[in-house]
Amino acid sequence: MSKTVLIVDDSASLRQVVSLSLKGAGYDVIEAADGRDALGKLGGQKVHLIISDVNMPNMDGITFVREVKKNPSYRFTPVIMLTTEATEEKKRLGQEAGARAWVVKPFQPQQMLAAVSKLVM
Amino acid sequence: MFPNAVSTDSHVLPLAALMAPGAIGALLLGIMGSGAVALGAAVCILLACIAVPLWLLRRLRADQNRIETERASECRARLVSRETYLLSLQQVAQASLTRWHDHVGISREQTETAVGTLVCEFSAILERLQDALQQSHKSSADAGEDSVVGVIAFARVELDNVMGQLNGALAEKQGLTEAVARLAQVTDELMRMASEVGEIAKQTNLLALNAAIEAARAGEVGRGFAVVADEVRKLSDLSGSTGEKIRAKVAATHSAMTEALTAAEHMAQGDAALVRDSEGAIGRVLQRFDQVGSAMTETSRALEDNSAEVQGRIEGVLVQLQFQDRVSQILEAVRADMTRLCERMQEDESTMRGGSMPNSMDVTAWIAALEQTYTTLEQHAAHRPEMQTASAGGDITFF
Repeated sequence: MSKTVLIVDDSASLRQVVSLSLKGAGYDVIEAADGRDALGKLGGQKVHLIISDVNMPNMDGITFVREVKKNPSYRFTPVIMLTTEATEEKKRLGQEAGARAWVVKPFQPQQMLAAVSKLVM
Repeated sequence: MFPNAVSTDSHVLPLAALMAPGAIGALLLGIMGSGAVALGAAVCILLACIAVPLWLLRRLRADQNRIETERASECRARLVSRETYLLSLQQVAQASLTRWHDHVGISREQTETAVGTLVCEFSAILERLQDALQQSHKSSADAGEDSVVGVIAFARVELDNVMGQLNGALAEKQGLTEAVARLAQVTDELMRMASEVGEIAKQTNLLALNAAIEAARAGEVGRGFAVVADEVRKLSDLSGSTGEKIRAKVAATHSAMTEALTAAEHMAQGDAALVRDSEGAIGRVLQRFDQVGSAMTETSRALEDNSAEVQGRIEGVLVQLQFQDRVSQILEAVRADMTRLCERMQEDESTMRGGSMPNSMDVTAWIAALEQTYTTLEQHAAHRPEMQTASAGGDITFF
């Protein structure tokens, strides 16, 4: 059975880039435009990994990760932050919120896939 | 501005009228009365009639001098507050413009790099497709839509289209850079205006000094003061008209800013659409290529190799296409800061319309607030050489 990855990013083109690589590697993909949209789309369904941007309207990525980790269904779901931000301070915030990896854009699709297969449950 | 300002000359007539009846009374008493007592009384009354009005006149002039001196210093204080405001506005605009300019520069550079790489990748893809065409003799004879020839023609059209759009995006960024440069001219004017106002303030200072000297000599000469009073009036007119000029300049800066803002917004929208189109085009080319690939399995050993190569190239294209995400974040910060300055200037303009002077702006606080909105290391690095070691992306940190 193929594994499902949730992609949260306000840039439609970036979601497409990530989703294209993931689908090519055999993953199922759910897309959401921001944290709030993602929480709505999750709705208790099983996902094996979450990839989230940091700077987004409505609900930013750090807040989204904090929120999603409150739900027992997703407490152990691995999260990869995918962002243009690269300061240590932001990384620390991501780690504290419960992210498992921090990827700085622009990334190579192969790098992204390696991180996904390393972390996916 | 001071309609109740009156010349000292107008006081002379009523005072003379005050002196005249007393003097006449004293003279009558002196003529009609007899003896030393009556003569003495007449002399006393005559002296009092001259001394009291003179004393009153002196008091009046001193009062008036004091009032004019106060007006002059009030006027000066107003001009000084204008100068301070203009200087602070100029500093904020200057500091912001430098940053906007650099950030637009970064986004242009990134777009240029991406376009350059995309051109290479696309031409490599086309070359591979040509290669595949030469090696698959069988289907080269077939000139239908799904033939390799058809696919290559299709790919060429699609990719040329994408390249054209990418170049258009670059031209738009050039436009924004120019708009920002025009704004820089406006801030130079603000600077000049600030120094003009400063000059007027200095003149007021001199005038206030003159008024003070006149006040010290009050009563001795009346004429000198009329000149000072007149100058104060002229000055207050002048300060009124500089106020109007400043308001107009702020309005002009505001509209120039709006223009730059529109350019920035238009560009951000264009970039997003462009990337969507590019991806669509690549997707369509890939799909056609797959179709052809599966239709010719028997002859396509070479084609498959090429296909793998093309796949790799496409991944390179996908990395480059992410430039849009970074560029749009950098431009979004520029746009937000432009909006913030626009709103502040609009507010200040309406304060000035209401007849009062807005508070000066704090450059340090303004720039600190701008830096809070930065999302990429390049934005920080543009003004802090020590951060030049910025990551170029692709870094993965596992926690």
